[in-house]
Amino acid sequence: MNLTGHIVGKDLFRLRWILVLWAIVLTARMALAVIQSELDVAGYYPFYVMALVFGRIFLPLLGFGLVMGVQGDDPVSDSDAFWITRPISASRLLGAKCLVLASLWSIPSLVMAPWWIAHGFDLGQLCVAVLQTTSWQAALTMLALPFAVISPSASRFFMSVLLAATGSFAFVLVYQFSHFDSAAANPPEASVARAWVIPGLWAAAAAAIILVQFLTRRTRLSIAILTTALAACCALACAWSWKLLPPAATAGEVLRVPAPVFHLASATAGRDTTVHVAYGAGQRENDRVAIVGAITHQLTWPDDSVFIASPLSSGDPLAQACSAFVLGNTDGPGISSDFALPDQARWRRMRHEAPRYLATITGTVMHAEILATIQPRTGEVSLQHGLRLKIAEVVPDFRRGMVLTVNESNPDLVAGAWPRLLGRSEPSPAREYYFLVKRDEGRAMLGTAKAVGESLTAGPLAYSRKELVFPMDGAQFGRWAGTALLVKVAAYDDGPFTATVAVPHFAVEAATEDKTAAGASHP
Amino acid sequence: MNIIETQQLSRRYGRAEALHSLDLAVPAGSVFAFIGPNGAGKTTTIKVLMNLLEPTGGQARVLGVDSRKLTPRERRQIGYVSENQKLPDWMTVDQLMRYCRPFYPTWDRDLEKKLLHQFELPADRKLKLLSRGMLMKTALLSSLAYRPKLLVLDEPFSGLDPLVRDEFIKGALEVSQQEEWTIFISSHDINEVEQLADRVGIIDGGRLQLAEPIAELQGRFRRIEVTAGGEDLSLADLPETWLEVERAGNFVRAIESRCSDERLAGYRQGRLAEVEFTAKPMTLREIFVVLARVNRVKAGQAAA
Repeated sequence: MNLTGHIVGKDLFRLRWILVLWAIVLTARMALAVIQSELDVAGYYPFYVMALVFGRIFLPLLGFGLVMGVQGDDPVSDSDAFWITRPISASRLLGAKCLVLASLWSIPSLVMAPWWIAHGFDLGQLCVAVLQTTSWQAALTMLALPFAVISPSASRFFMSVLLAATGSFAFVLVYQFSHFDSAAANPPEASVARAWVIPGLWAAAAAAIILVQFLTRRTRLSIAILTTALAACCALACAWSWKLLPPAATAGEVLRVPAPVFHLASATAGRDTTVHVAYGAGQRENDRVAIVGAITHQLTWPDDSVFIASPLSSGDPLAQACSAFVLGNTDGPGISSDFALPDQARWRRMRHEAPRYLATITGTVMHAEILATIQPRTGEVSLQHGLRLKIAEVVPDFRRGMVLTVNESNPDLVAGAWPRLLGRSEPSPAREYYFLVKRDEGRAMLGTAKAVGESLTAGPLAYSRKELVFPMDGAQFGRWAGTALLVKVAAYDDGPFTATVAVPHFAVEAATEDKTAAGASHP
Repeated sequence: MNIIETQQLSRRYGRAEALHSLDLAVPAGSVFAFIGPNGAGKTTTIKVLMNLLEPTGGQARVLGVDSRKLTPRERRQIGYVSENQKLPDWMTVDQLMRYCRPFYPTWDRDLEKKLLHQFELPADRKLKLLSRGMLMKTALLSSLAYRPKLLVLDEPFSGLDPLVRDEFIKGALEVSQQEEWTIFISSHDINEVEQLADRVGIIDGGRLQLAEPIAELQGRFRRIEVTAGGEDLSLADLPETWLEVERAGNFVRAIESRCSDERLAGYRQGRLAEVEFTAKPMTLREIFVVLARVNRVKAGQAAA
């Protein structure tokens, strides 16, 4: 029998009841959250408090203490430990302990896997969720293990942790007090660099301590490393102001879009001339990008007098873009305006004196994404990208149209994983749209959303209730309710920009002209 | 061949010197008693030999290998029982045996069963519920069942009642005599060790006072009593090998530390021919006490 496996088996057998307890607590926390997500009213706050205690306090503490539980049976800082006098090499013991810890890390994932699978996580999402859950456990382990390997007993472990926490707190307190006047907000790049440097430093120190303890059992050296690392981490947390990482990419770089493209055209029909201005998003797929914000343009005579100056479009261009997006219209509606020139005098003058054209667009490049697609029927539940959408009721309202009451919650958070939209900010409610879509007919109807009651975020669960109204008459109701899909779209803000385009001589004879914005700036 | 050998072995705890240039040799097949008063350095020596502590100077070799480089291969041939050893007390006796077995290819199930029965150990009881004596017997069982070449016992008798001690000694001796194992035992309990050991090492203040076969040691030490009749014996003329000389009138009592038949014959034929002279054998305990006292006096004089 493999001796490493034999040690692993011994440890798991020893911790079996604690592991069962842990699994029960994990399940209980999830069950509580699931119960909450089904509740329609905010009057069940005690449940949220229980979930908060379970999720935020008890579980991390249990996970932290379990690390000592694993290490405590074969202490590497006690010269009277049983294993030292037996034919067990330090490297074998280290390997066995790593395997036991890895087994522990898998338990939250094992408990939550049925939930994830039941909520439609595909293989990739499942892997991400497991990775997220495991990395959380791994972070706890990296925090606890250095203390565990220098402690011969559980009481010493908790004493060491308490001492380190108190020392760190005192350090930060003294620093903050002594730098009270000079306290200045760090730039985001410095905070990001700090967020990498401190865990990196701690991980390196933890690895050194673990190796020193297992291979040489020089506890004093390990304590010195631990104390130094802790002090260094505290100092860095207080005083770090360097930007190690390159500055954040501008919107143009992020999107790989050189600049928006302006398409100008003029058409003459009889005595009328129409100037058509359209905006696209360069080399970016149109269906993934919408440009919103103030767009102004003007046509100026050679003597600098202005004959057209107005906003380019009205309404919500992002909603238009999202509408095209949900319909799968890859060309996208773009943003465009037509300006008729009925004034014969101006038209004649334009033919002889080509005006200058100048457009300025200040806006935000938005990245649209479908979050959920469900049939608008009562009780339908769908899940995509970490969103749980449940339609409570579908009501025909003769004054307003189709009214859908929707409960939304985030099951990723319920199940302990981070949102599956890894690395991306969650959409803000102002940038969410609800559409009724009939793809076969190429029609999309934008609904108005209104929050009902309170939106709750407590414990592991975020929960909200909304009323969606789609304006339609009674005849339309049956048609849309039967075959349409309710689509929720979120638009993520990829960064603000300003771009201008100038055409020195825009003549009507030059029927069409494409111009890439010049002088685009991305603050 | 020596199973244990140390050369100039030293170990310091901060400023305190626990071991000072210890030169020790334990021949294979011997039962070596390592005795000394409290704080003499017995446990430190054993911990260094077992690589539980690192020496600060010198070298120790166990089974021919530097103690700092003991690998599982050597550990499989060493049994270690200590009063300080922390056994996994959440296990039952049976679970402990099952846990230990795979680490030792030479584990003898029959011997395990025999010793379990002989020691009257409850196999299904958790170690934390066992008495101290039973715990020590469990530790001994887990160290004997794989037939180690070297058995190291650190204060195995402390806190044990006489009955358990007898069982313990019997168990250790029975197996070791059959197999010609080497036993290295440290103890305060000199009477028990005397029954068990054939060699002895006495350590005091971190320095080895002597290390030799018990028979030789006991042959070397004699309690001398001289009654001089009407004459006075001059203390200045007494042999230098006499320790702890006490005089009361014409009665002199001392410990001869280099006794031999020739030397006794010399006394009787020489200046002690006219007096009443007796030389009585001493127990190991008496020898140990004498040496400890002499060392204290010497240390006191050196300090002064």
